[in-house]
Parts: sequence; structure tokens; C-alpha cells
Amino acid sequence: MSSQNLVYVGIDLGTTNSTAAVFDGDKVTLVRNAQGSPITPSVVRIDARGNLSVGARARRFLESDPDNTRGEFKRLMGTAQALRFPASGAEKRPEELAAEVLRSLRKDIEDQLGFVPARAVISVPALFELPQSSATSEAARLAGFERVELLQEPIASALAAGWTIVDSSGSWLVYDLGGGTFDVSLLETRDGLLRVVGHDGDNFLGGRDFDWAIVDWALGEIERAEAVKLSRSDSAHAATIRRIKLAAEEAKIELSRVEQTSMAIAGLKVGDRSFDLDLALDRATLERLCSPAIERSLAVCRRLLAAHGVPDGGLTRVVMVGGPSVMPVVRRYVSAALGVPPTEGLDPMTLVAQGAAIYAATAGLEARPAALEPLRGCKLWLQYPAMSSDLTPHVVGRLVDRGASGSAVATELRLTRADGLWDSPWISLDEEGAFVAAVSLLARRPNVFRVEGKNATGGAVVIDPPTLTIVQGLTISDPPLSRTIGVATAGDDVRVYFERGAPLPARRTFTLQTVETVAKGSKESLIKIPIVQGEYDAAHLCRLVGALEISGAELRQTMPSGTELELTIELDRGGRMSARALVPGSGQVFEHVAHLLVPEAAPEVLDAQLVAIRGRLGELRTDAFRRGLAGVIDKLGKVEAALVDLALDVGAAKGGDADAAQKARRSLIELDATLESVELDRRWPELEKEAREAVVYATIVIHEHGLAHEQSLFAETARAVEKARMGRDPLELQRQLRLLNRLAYAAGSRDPEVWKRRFEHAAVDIGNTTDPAKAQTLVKEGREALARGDGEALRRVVQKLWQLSPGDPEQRRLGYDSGVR
Amino acid sequence: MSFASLLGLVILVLALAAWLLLLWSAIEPLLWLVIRRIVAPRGLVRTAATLARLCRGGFEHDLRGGSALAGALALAARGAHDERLATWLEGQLGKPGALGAAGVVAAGLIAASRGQRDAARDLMHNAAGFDAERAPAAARVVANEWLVADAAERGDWGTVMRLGVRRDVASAQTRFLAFAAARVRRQPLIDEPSATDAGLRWLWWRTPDRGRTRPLLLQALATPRVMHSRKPTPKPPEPAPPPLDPAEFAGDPVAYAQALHALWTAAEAAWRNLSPTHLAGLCKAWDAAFAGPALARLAARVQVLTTVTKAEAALAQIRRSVADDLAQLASRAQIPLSALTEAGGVGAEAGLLLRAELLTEVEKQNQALRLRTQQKRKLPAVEELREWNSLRRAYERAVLLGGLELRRLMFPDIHLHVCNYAVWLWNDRKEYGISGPLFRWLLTEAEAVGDEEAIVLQRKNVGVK
Amino acid sequence: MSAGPADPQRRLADNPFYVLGLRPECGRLDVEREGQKLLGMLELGLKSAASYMTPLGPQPRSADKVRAAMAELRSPDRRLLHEFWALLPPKPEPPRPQPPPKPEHDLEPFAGAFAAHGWKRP
Repeated sequence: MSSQNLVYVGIDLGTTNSTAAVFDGDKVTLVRNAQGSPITPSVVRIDARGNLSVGARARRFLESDPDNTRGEFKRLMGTAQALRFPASGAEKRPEELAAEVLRSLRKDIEDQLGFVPARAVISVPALFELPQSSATSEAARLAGFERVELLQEPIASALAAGWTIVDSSGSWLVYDLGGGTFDVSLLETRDGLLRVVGHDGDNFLGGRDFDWAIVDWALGEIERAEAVKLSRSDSAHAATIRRIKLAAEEAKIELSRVEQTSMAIAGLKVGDRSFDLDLALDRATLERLCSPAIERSLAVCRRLLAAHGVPDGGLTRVVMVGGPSVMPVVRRYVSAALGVPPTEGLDPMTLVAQGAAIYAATAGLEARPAALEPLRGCKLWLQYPAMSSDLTPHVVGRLVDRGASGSAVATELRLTRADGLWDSPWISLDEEGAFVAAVSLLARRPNVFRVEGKNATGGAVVIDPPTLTIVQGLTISDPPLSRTIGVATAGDDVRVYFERGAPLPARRTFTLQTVETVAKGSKESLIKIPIVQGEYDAAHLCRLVGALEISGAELRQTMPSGTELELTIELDRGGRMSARALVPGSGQVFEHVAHLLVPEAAPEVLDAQLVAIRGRLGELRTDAFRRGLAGVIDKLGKVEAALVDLALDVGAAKGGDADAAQKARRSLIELDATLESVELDRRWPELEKEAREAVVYATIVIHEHGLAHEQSLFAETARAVEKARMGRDPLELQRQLRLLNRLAYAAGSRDPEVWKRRFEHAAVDIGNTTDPAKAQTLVKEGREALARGDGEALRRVVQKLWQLSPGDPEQRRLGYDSGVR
Repeated sequence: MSFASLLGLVILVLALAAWLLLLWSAIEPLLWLVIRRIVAPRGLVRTAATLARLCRGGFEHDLRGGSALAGALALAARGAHDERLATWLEGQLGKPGALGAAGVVAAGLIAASRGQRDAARDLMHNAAGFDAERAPAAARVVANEWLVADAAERGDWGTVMRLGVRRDVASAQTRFLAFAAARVRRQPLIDEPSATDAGLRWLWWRTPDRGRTRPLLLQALATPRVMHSRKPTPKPPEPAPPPLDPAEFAGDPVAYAQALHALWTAAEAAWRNLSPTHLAGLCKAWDAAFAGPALARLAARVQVLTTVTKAEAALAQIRRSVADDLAQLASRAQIPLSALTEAGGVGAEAGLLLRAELLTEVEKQNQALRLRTQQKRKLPAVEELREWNSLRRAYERAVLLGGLELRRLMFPDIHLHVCNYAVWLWNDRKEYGISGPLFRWLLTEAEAVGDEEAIVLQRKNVGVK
Repeated sequence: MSAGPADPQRRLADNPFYVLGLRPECGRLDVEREGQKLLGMLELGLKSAASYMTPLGPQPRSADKVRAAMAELRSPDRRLLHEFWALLPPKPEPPRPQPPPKPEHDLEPFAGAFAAHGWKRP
């Protein structure tokens, strides 16, 4: 690494705007684009002739030619959804569009620095999942970057803020309100080391909620004044609404500076009616409109602080990031709610890019492509942190050519700081030709050290490299994983590979067992190993991010169920995942990971799910009311409230809003999780009741028909049932109940009356059997046996009927059809 | 040609045919010997398999299995595993028709050839469970020889001595191993007098590879023959010096518990020597540590380190990992659950964890079997056996550790699904060889737990044959 | 979501304090300093960094282990637990694994048992 002109590049690839910054070890500079602005809108346009434009030039067409001008594609990263540009007929994937933005920024950096940067750090939202991260890496590759690392936005913001602020120790909150997402992160700095304590956020809360609140208000005003009803879910109104929304955005930004403004649009069209819009909007109204959304964000902050035990007033600093956070109303609310005024003097629009650039230094990602320098002197291989929070870090080194001897080979080394105020003693190289030395750094600046060498006779030796540079400042060493990653098992559990916060890169191997036999050569038999990401215990609530498939067609030998598989999952620093499964028995390796995409959210599917969830909610509510379960009713109320929003999103998804569709898909999963927990709450009393009844029934039959040893076993089992009931252990209670029922069944079977009842019971249910026709015949046989009084025949009929009752493969389907455990 | 000469020719031909037939019936029993001693040892898989098709007497009901068995014997004799030949043999086995014991033994040998020793062992045991009519003597002899060789190779001489002299299936080789082992270990064989020197030599003389068995013979002859009047008392093995001495930390209950814990859990294979008393001692050490010192230590550090975690919460986490370790330890050392439960404290917690683990494993496999039976998803017969073996192993493990309590608890569910499964194999698939032992197993279990209903049903199922 | 029970054999052997060659009383900066140094030494393939001591003897050290150890100790909650399990001092001398003494009348396993039947394997 050269000591001169270190350059590190950081890029904030945002939903609405993107920014690039460079860091030279001392200060951060923003990169300006051709228009002279540090901010490049994340908008791409392809015109009818196929010409592609990016940034402000493209953004101008967002209103007039929305079909051929695309923004906000970051929200679709990792999906298979291609965006069409009808005028040219081009079709681009979201990562290709992102690559265009990155390419434009890369050009701006080249203009400013004079060389094309090969390496950079790109920021991603804290809650990005693997498919989204890997799409971002792919975009960077397409844009021509040799190597990139991804860094979560809140960490970037905090790093940048920490670099600027002298006393940075304590707990921090990074409040990042973007166009469409809200992230809040709790960080802690101690001894110059930055640590992420926790994240929270709302993937679908942002400045756009303010805009839509204004739009909805404007629509109400229009309806009152013009008697025109405009609807957001009506695609015929989409163009008009888009114009109103742009006006709302402008008014919102305007109100950050002035007390009152107006929304004026001439010639709005609805159907065949045309009218002019002119509405006065003041700060007080804006506050009233925005406060619900701000309150929502504050609730998320409070939840995060509570989860990590930060008491009221325990924060030393709040850093605000993102365009909407400039709004005075937001800053006032945050300051009042968290008890700390937001840190001033930081640019909320570019902070993330600045942090990314600083992080590039920590990660040792110098932007300049490595130049080939002629070898001169005694070549040394050095290892040291490019950036260190420690004032006395270690430098480790080793001679590249260990076998060499003579006067050109150093036997002793010394490091001298460039200011001449510190030098190390002469250090002898050990038998491996290596040394370890602690150096002393000056705080918060780049420190250059000269490396000097002496040979065995005490003569000076030229060392290559002659110098090394270490920047002292706030650091974070490894990028942490944003969400837990694991393998879904057949029992709908998750075998965790990497927990949230695990440092990247990471690799882990676990031994899994197959649950089904896969016959060699059979195309139909297939073992699926689904890889999921999320914080839930149940696999189906986590996001499927990839799957490894082992098909019988590829197998060299049949794999019996219970075969051990060694599954290794590996994540690189950019969040790209690879997986491989080794079958130790045969030595065969499978490495093909299928689809790593965010699932599509088709409006019809969403609609069906919405209906299903409504139905389930209704059932649970009726039941809860009937039994007066207050806690359950409460939880269900919250789900019901959320359903209102969800319905709006599903409506918008039908109108073609892919973003709303993704939002709806996520909300559905979350609501599903809530309902699941409600059902768990509910199941226990049911099970308890079942247990009570079973004990009563068993007491009677076993008393009458039980053999002596059954009597004593029953007494024991009844005690165990009671114990499981007291311990509230549903699994154990079910086991004991099975045993109890078995005893009662055996005793009851000695009573002919019982078989009659069993028959009647089974006969009612024939509609649900696997073979209703056969069941029908059996019931007929049973009736005849009943008439004859043939107990033995009746009993055979009942047993056959039972065999026809269906089972449920439900659970495995839930666990993404996993074939392992 | 005159009529008489024609008649003469016919008579001659008939006589020749009769003579050939006679000759064949005389040499046919020898054919199997030829295959085992001459063809198979040369690794001629296809030849052995083809020749075995002629052994009508030996494998009357299961020619296919017999042929596969001969091929598998040849496969095992080859210097390196040949997957192509193994696959070919499996293909022979997989043809329609019920599976017999010979096929099972063949599958076992193929599995062994692939290095799947545990699976092979299970299959050999399965073959022993087949009814005599579906289990030709030749197949059972091979299965027994394999099991004895397997035990001898693992140093499990008790098993060698038990299986080596088993009636009907013992061969010269297995008998020699059993008698030699009995002599060296100075232990009696079941229902067999100890061998004289001459007897040992005679047995050795009949083993197929005298060169390899000679050292064992010499060792046996060097040991004086004892008449067994009493059971020898095995000396307890000297305990190896521990890599870590917990006594060094006797003054600090937490360090002492940790050292003891490390000794049993982390030191290589230490669990092999773990007794219930040791385990109880470990539980007691942890209970002493958890009674106060551990919390005090954590509380002191919590003050320095963090505001978020409470010392009690951290202690609970540590307690849980200790319980996890204890459960794993007991499970590996095969110490009964009751030893943990009776220890109380953290031991009892570990007991609950282990109990849940044992039960869950059985329940999962049982559910899988239930689903497959219900959806009538067939597997090749050998795979059916393997799957059943896996469930049975889990069940037997739970019984071994959990005793009668778990046995009773598991049986109702097991009985329901395994019985349905066995009925499916019997009625729809005619795999009598596999399902017969299933019914017998269910009957044994039903009797063990005293389930009257199941006893009646399984007696009927077993009696059907 | 919870990780399965850790392997008790590794609990001690992979304790971050042993991996980094530090004791539980060390400061946060010591963790970073030692970690950085060890990562550098491992990258250069220096023998002196190739193994570390635990109460049960030496263990091989890898960059993965060092990075994971640093991350674990950065979180105070996790560090608290690791401190607990690093109570025993690492042993400088590797323990000699003693072969268990043989009972008097016993037989060695018969390695040629399969071969004696004409089966070359397993």
C-alpha cells in the first residue's frame, strides 16, 4: 500500500438520491457531479432512441414521461421484476438500473480524482436481506467496480458523525428517515470503538408517508371544493395523483424554510372535467398531517431503547439522517421525545456517503488500482490496520524472501513516525524473518511511519515499502450481519447458522439429516434444503433466501432417510452467500443454490392471502369473545387495525404499485406471526380442557373394565397428566394424554357399547375420508353388523374406517418443504 | 434306422438325462460351496451372481436374493469398492417381488462395501429376524459370519462369544473365534464346554484363512485352559491421570465445577469412563456453584461491563448451557435418565432436556412413517428396512436411557403407526419378510408395557402366519 | 430463534479469551489490539501465532476463530458469558493422553477379522 495520497471511496446508493464521498485519511470530501451538486437523483431514463440518462437530467422527466423514467428501483432490488421502458422497448432489472447510477457516480469520481476508482464501499439499509445485498454487489460489478464492500447505513452515519465529533463516547441513536424507509439504530462508542447495539425500523415508513398524507388531505379539499372524488386505487386517476404528489413534495420542502406556502397546479383533469388546484398549506396543518407518521417512528425508537435497557435520558446523542429529517417538525418531535437535541452541523443528506468512505479506510479498501512498482531494496510483507481506534496498535511484518542472505537483507528494523517525535527501538527479525512491533499514533489523523533496516554488519538497508500509514480514529472492524440466517427444517424449525450481528465474512458447517429417502436416478425424488433469513422461530415466518436442491437424478447412490449431510454456508463481506452440501457417505458434493430472489408479490396472491387472514381473524375473534379472553382480544384488535393499512396497500398493488405490493407481502407475514402467537395462547386452555375430560372418562372406564395393572398404570399416568398441566407443558401433556387415552381405549374396548358409539362417531365423518365410496360401503357393513349384534365385525369395520381418515402434510409444507432436519 | 434302435436311443438318452439329473442333485449343494470358496473370493461379481441362479435347492423362494448375495460376497472380496458393480447388484435386488433374507444380507454387504458399517450391521440383524422359510441357511450363516467379524474387529469379544456359537448359523470360522476368545479371556461360552487344545486346533484347521487366524490360535494355546466354576471378576480399569485436576480448584466452587465439567465434557473420550456416581458428583458441584458464588461473580462483572444484561439473566443462560452439556454427556455415556432426575437441581433440568430430546426424535420419525404410510409412498424394500431400523434405534435408545416410563409413554403412538405400516407392507406389498418381524417386535413391546389391547391384536398378527 | 446447544467439547477449547491469549480481566482495547496483531501474524503465516493454550492443552488458531472471538468479546453481554467460561487458567504444558491400561485377560481387537473371511473390506 502506498503511503502517498490514500484515497477511499464511499457511495450512498439511495432510494431517491445517491451520493459519493472520498476520504484521504484526514478529511472527507464530497464528489460533485456535472451539475455541480453532490447529490445525484437515483433516476434513470431511456428515451425512444435508446439514449440513457441518469440523475438530475433524467429526473426532469419523472413527471412528464413517467413510463420511460424510473426512480425508486432500489426498493425492487433482489426481485425478479424487470422494469420496462416502452418508448425504446428496453427492459432492465433493478440492479442494472442501480449500476447505471453507480457508473455515473464513478465517472464523477474519475473527473474529480483523475483516476477510475476500482474499489469502494457502498451503503445498504440496515434491514436489507441477502437477495437485496447480493443484487447491490451485482450492480457494483456491472458498474465496473473490482471490489466492493457493503456497509449498513446507520453504521455509516454513526462513523461519519463520530469522525466529526471530538468526544464521541456514550450511547447514540441514529434516526434515519428516508424517502420510504425508516431505520433507527442504537450504537455505543467506548474507547474509540463503535459497536452496533441494535437495530429496529419500519421498512415502509418515510418521507413519502408525509407526501401521501398531504395528498390525501388535498384530495379531501378537492372533493369539498370541486365535488370531484379522486381515488388512489383507481389507475385512471394515477396521472393526476402523481402531479398532486409532486406538488405536495415541493410544498413540504418549502415549509422547512417558510411558515406558509401554496400548492398550485393548473389544468388538472379527472375524466372529462378540468380544474385548477390552488391550496394554501401552513406549517401547523403540515404538522397535523405528519404527526401520526412521526409518532410511528418515535414508537419504533422507544421500542428499540426499551429492548436494550437504555433508560430515559440515557442517550448522549441523536444523529438525524435522510431528507425528511431536515423538517423542523421532525426535529422538534424527536428532540422532545428522546430528551436529546439532534446533533447539529452534520449534513443529513450526505452523512451516509461520508461514513462509507471512512469505512473504506477501516476495511483497507483503497480506491486506486494497485500500481506495479519495480522492486527495490529488501522486500517486506507488512500487516497493520489501515485505520485503528487503538493508539498503540501492532505492526507485523515478515521478509518476503526469507532464504536470501547478504548485505541487502535486513536483520534489524526500526519504525520512525514522520513527525520525528516517536521511534521504535531496533527490532531483530526472528528465525522466521518476522517481527511484531507496537507503534504509537497521534490521535485523529493519518500517521506515516518510515521503515528503516540494518543488515548483519550494521549497514543500512533500503526497505520496500519504505513507509506505512495508519489512520487513527473511530473504527468498526467487521460488518455485522443484519438478520439471522439458518436452514429451515422439516419440522418448521430453523437451524441457525449465523445470528444477527455475526461478523462477516463467516462460514459454518452443521450436520443435518435427511428425512426422506432419495432414490438414485429418480427425477421425482428431491431433497430441498431451504435457507431462510429472519428472527422468527418458525421457519415459514422467515424469508426464504435460497435453496440447495439434491435431486435423485444427480445422485451416485441412493440416499436413505437419515443420511447425514454436511451443509456449509458461507457469507462474504458483501453479504453474498454460497452453500455446499457434502454427503460424507459417498463423498458427493452439491453446490448449486437455487433462486436467491425476493419472492414475487402478485396482487391476486396478496388478495387471496388478505381474505384468508381476515377469515382467520374473524374465527379467532369470535372464539375469543365467546371465551372472554381479554388479552387475545387486545392482540386481535391490533391486527385488525393493521389490516386497514394492508388493504390499502393491496389496493395500490392492484393499481400497479410494485412497491406497495412488497410492503403488503411483508405485512402479511408479520400479521400471520401475530395470529400464530394468538393461536398458541388459545390452544392451551383447549388442551387443558381436553385433559380434564380425558381423565374423567378414563377414570370411569378403567374403573369398570380395566385390568389390575392397567388400574395402577392409570393412577401413575393421571399424576403425570396433572404434573404436565401444572407445568404448562403442551408437548408433554399431549404425550401423557396419548398414553391415558390408550389405556382408556383398551379398557373401553372390552365394553361392546363403546364400539357402537365409536361406529356412530366414525360414520358421521365419512365425507372427510380419503376414500368416501369405500367408507360408504364400510358404514353399510357396520349397520348390518350392528343389526346382527356382531361386535367383532363392527369392531373391524370401525378400525377400517379409521384407517381412511386423512392426515396432514401441512407441517412440512410450512417449512418450505424442507427435506432435512 | 429300426424301431428298436430308435427305442434304444430314446432309452439311452433318458437314462443319460436321469443320470445327469442325479449327478446335478448330488453336486448342486456343492455349488454354493464352489461360489463361496472359489468364485466369490476372486471378486467375480457377475459370475458369482449368475452361478447362484442355479442353486435352486438353497434359495428356493428367493433365487434373486441368493444371486445378489453371491454377487455381494464377491463384491466384498474385491480390493476396492466398485460402485458400478454395487449399483448393478442393487438393480438386481430392486426388481419386483418381495424381499427375502438373502437379499437383505446382500444389501448389508453392499452397504458395508460402501463403508456404511452401522447400516450394514442393522441389515444383518434384520436378516436374522426373518422367518426360516424366507431365510435360507446360507444367508443366515453369512449374516452371522459378518456380525462376528464385525464384533471381532471392534474388539467386542463378548458378542463374538455369543454369536459365534449360535445354533444353526455358526460356521467353523465363527466357532473358532468364539472358542479362542473364551480361552484367552478365561470366560465360559453359553451352553458349550471350553475347548481342549486339540479341539481348538481342529477348529482352526477348518477356518478358511489359517494364516490370518494363526496368531489367535497361538495366543489361545498359550493361555492355560480353565474349567469354569465361577464367573471371573473383571478388574476395574485403572483410571488414567486426568489432563486437568479439579482438586487444584477445590477452594472455589465455580472453578471446581468448571474444571470437573471440562474434565468430563471437553477431554477426548472422557465420557467413556463416566459412571452415574461421577455424573451425580458433577451435578452436585454445579449446584454448589449455582447456590451463590456464580451469581456473585457475574454480578461483579456486570457492573463493569454492561447496563443491559442482568446478572440473573446471564446466570440463567449459563445454567441452561450446563444443563445442555449434562444432558449430552449422559446421553453419550448412556447413563439412565433417572440418574439425572434423582440428582435434582441442574441435573434434573438436564434430565428434562434429555427426556424431551429422546421423545422428540422418536416422535419425528414416527410421524414421518405415519405420513408415508398414509400417502402410500413406497420405498425400495431395503430402504424400508433401513427406515424402520432408524426408528427402532431411536425408540430403543429412548428405552435404554428412559426405562419403562418412556417405553410406556411412547408405545401407544408407536404401536398405532408402526402397526399400520406393517399392515401396509403385509397386505398391499406382500413384504412378509419385513413386516413379520415388525409384528413380533410390536408384540414384544406390547407385552413389555402391558398393553392388553395391543397384545391381543399383535398375537393375532403374529399368529396369522 | 435460538442456536442449538453449543458443542461442550468446544465451549472451553474455542473460548474467545483463550483464542486471543487474553484473560477475562483485560480491557476492550486489548481485545482489538491482540486480535489485530494475531490476524496480521496469521496472514503472514507466523508459527508463533499458529496455536493457543487452553486448560486442556493447545489448540490450532485460525483467522476465522480470531475474528469470531473479537466479535464475541465486543458485545458486553456475550463477553460476560465467555468470561465465566474462561475462569480456568490455560495450561502451558500439553497434557499427555494416557492410554487406558489393559485389563489382564483381554484380547486386542482382531484387525484381520473380515480379511480372514476373504472380505477385503470394510
